[in-house]
Amino acid sequence: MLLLLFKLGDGRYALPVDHIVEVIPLVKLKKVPRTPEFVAGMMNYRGKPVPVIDLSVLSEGVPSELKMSTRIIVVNYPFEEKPGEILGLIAKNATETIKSKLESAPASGVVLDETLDHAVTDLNSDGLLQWFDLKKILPEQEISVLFQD
Amino acid sequence: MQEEKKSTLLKSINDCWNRIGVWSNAEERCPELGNVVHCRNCSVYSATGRLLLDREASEEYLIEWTSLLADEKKSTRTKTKSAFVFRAGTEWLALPTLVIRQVVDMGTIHSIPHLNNPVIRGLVNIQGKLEICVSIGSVLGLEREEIDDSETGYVAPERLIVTHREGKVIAFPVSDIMGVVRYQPEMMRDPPVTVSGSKAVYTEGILYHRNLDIGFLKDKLLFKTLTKDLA
Repeated sequence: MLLLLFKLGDGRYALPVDHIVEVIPLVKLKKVPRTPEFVAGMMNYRGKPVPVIDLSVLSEGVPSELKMSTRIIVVNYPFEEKPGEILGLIAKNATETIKSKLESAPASGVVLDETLDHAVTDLNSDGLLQWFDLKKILPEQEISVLFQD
Repeated sequence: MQEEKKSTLLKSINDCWNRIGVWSNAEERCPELGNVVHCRNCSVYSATGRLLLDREASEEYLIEWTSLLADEKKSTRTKTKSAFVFRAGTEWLALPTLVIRQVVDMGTIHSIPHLNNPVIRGLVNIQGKLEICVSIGSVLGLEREEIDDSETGYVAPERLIVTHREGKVIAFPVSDIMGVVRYQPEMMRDPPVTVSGSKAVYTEGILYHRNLDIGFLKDKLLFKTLTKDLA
């Protein structure tokens, strides 16, 4: 399974590519009033307004830095009722993908280096990666608010 | 301010790959090379590479991508066709790959007695079967002129291309072969009006590939002419 690596705070996370539509550079966002703080705004993604969530705000309470390596991961959020809604996630250091021998989410929520094709090329890596579970980290009831007409 | 940042970033980079790595001629070599073989497998190299991505994203960068991503995604995957490219004399030519059966080393061409046709050169032995060998240069009116290879020192071996169409097999020698090239139909341009004579008649269009103008031949017409001569 191919995993996209990125950082949340100091921890490294891995998101399976199944849900990913595209990884794009940072873009200008339109602020939306009366939305939770972690919603960075709306972006015009191929002519469609798409809500963007800043994962740094969610985990650390501070907005992501404007860096080239900070990117927007466009994902298909797996809603129970209306699948196919897309969502942008601002993530730090989203620059690397890695192959893993895992076929599904690890029970512990942690990916061990041994299951990876090659060691994570991070000098400060502790050999562990956190599995980014979209539904656990971004609960459906909180996200569905963004898609109400 | 940005320029200043950029230069401090550049100064902070330890480009060991240029000093003791694979891109250096120095006697002293990085001890890690024994383990990783090439610098691109080394964590120092990739970590430094990632440093470049840790630059601040400029305002223009954000604006440019905002407008790029607001547009509909244009599909870059268009239908491509396949052409077989070869050189006859000084001309690069192409035929649809479908009509090419095989490419073989140049063999002896056995001339046919009492046949006074400049196009037909004789018979060749293709894996035990005698096939007609023609001169494509004579059909197209090309001059037999060799490209000066003295600069590169490469002399392409002459080879025979065996083509087949509607059950008829024809072989012809060529000076060089580029191989199969994929092209998009839109890439084909009309032949220039200055091209005249038989070359213009048999040229479907011009393909521009690897800085070369390749004449795409009308295979149907070419085969018609060649097989007519045989009858």
